[in-house]
Amino acid sequence: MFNLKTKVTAVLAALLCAGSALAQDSGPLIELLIRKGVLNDQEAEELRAELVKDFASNSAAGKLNLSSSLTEFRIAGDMRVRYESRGGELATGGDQKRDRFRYRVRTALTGKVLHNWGWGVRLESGGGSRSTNVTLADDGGPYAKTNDGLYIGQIYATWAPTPEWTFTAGRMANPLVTTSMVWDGDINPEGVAEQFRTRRGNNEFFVTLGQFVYGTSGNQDPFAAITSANIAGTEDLFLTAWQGGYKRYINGPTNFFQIAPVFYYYAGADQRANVAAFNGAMTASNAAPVNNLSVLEIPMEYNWVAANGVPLRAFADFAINLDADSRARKFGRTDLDGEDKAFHIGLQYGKASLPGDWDVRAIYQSVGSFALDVNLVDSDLFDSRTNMEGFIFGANYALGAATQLSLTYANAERKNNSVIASGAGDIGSNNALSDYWLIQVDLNVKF
Amino acid sequence: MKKFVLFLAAALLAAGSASAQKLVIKGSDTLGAKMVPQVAEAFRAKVPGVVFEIAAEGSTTGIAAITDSTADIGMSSRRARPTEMSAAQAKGVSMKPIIVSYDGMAVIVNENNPVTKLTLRQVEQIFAGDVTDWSAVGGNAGPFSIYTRNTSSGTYQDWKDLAMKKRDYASSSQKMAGNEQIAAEVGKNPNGIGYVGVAYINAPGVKVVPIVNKDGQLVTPTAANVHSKSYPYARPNFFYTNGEPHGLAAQFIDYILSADGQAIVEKSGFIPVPVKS
Repeated sequence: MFNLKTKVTAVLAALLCAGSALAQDSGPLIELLIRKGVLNDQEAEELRAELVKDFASNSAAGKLNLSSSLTEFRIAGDMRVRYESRGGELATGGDQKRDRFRYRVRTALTGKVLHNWGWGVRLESGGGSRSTNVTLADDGGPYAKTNDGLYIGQIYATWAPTPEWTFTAGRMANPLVTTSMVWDGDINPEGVAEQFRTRRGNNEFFVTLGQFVYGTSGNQDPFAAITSANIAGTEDLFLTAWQGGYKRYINGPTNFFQIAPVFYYYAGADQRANVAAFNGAMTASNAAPVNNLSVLEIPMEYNWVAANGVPLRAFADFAINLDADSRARKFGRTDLDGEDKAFHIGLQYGKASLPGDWDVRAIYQSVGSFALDVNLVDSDLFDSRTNMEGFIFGANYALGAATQLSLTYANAERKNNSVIASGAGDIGSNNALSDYWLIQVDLNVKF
Repeated sequence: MKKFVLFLAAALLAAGSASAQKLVIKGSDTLGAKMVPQVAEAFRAKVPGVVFEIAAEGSTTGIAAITDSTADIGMSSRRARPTEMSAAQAKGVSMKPIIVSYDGMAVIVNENNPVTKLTLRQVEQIFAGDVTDWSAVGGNAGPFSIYTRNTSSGTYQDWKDLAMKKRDYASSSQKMAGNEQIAAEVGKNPNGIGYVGVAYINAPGVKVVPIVNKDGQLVTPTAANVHSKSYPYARPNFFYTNGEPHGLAAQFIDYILSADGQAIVEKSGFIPVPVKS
């Protein structure tokens, strides 16, 4: 037995010398040797420790020196190469079109540290609030790098004192259950959020509260006494969100219904005193002001599996601005106080997860002129605009487990031709856009 | 003056020898709540003057304490992770594992629960949230109330590795500070289920559920089943030191591994290290 043990130990020592990959894989072999009585538990533990130390010394991963307070560390991200063509027609009959080859990259470092704290930092290409894209050759000279910067897209700390509660502070991924109709997916709100989630049998309840800094004023306490002449820009502006949600599991984790109403309230949005970018009333030439927005949004979805095993998802989002009549009045169109609603309804067939899988989805969306905050709505599908309605079609094909080919097509027209389609717009800021279309072909790689 | 210098030197020597008698032990709540303090008490009877500083806040803290050189011995109810070993190595610390006892993590339910056995698959399904009601595993209808340890606990991670194929816990699971809290909650809750070390299976109001192991045998965490590895949720418990233990730490480790020490280990509810053949 001693000879066998010596031989086996020699084999393991050889493994140890042979390489860290082999050393890492030797756990089952050690277990087998224990069961065979060649090694006792203590000898096995010492051997295991030696193998790990060797791994630490001789492999790239092992040389990472991580803080001992870290209990989990993760590097993840994605990159995308996109061809995009978007265009539109003006009410006057003129056309606009813009073709671009673009890329984006996002790399997140996240971790957990002792005592239920965590953190995250995400670096993103593109400095826009609603886009992480960089357009190829859109900078000084051929192959220049002046636009190819990296920005801090997310930076936050979390504390989860119990499994139900999570508190987040910083610049974070949007904690709300919502859709692209109301929030562009690239927006990372800044502020604090409190989340509570509990499950009782097949019923799950959750609450998400957000207090986000929307705009900060440069001079909240001017040297001179505040008067109507210098009051502009003397208040910070906050967006608060109040969401309650319910999820009903019907048959396992893939068959459920969820509804999550959320109310948005803007605090510090005094029309005279709030920050310059959002100050005043919305007009044809200035869509950014957030006057008279008290939006109630109700996103919902139903997920199930078809008889042929294909996952299906039906989803909808309804929103109404409870102060739209005042927004319309300040815009100068009291007759349009009914343009206070937005909705979005869609169906997805399939889920592109494993290589060869695919999915398709179709969405109809209609957004009234005074229903939503135009600073938040998706920048691609309807060109960052409200007062648009139309269809969105999308498809994904999984080239690999972490690689997808995606196709998106959107076609919309102005909902009410008597008023502008307001918004930042990416094909030019002409708010007289009457028709709009978008084609995107994406290659996505996740890592 | 000469007398004063001699007195000062003697005082410094005395102070030095007093501080040398302090043993700092940090880490696992499973080991540090009962077993190690009892062994320490017996050791102190044999080596008078030793001062113990024992902090039981989870295995992760014990391993971190060795890495940071803030403890002489790190208690851990689980094996150090490769990332912890490499972090230690990067700081010039060579983690030395020493098995001081064994534990079988027992599945406990309320004593009025009619369930008499669970399979490995059922245990995984319950703790991962694949099933949500006792009726799915032969019990009375009612949702599971799952109690687990918190994330800094070695038992928390070991249970994921041994019982859940490394999957995440059910989102409805409730994290408890220690074994005693889990046993107390399960004892009060007819729908409760949790896992505790063998030292805590005699808590009031709870019973141990036998497990059908991969060979089809019905097993409980007895010493024989743990040593033979027929009980699936068994694990060694460790002391970690920086390199070979020396000085007072070595004396204490020798003591806990001695017949006297192992008798205390067994008395405190843990399973002793088998005698070397």
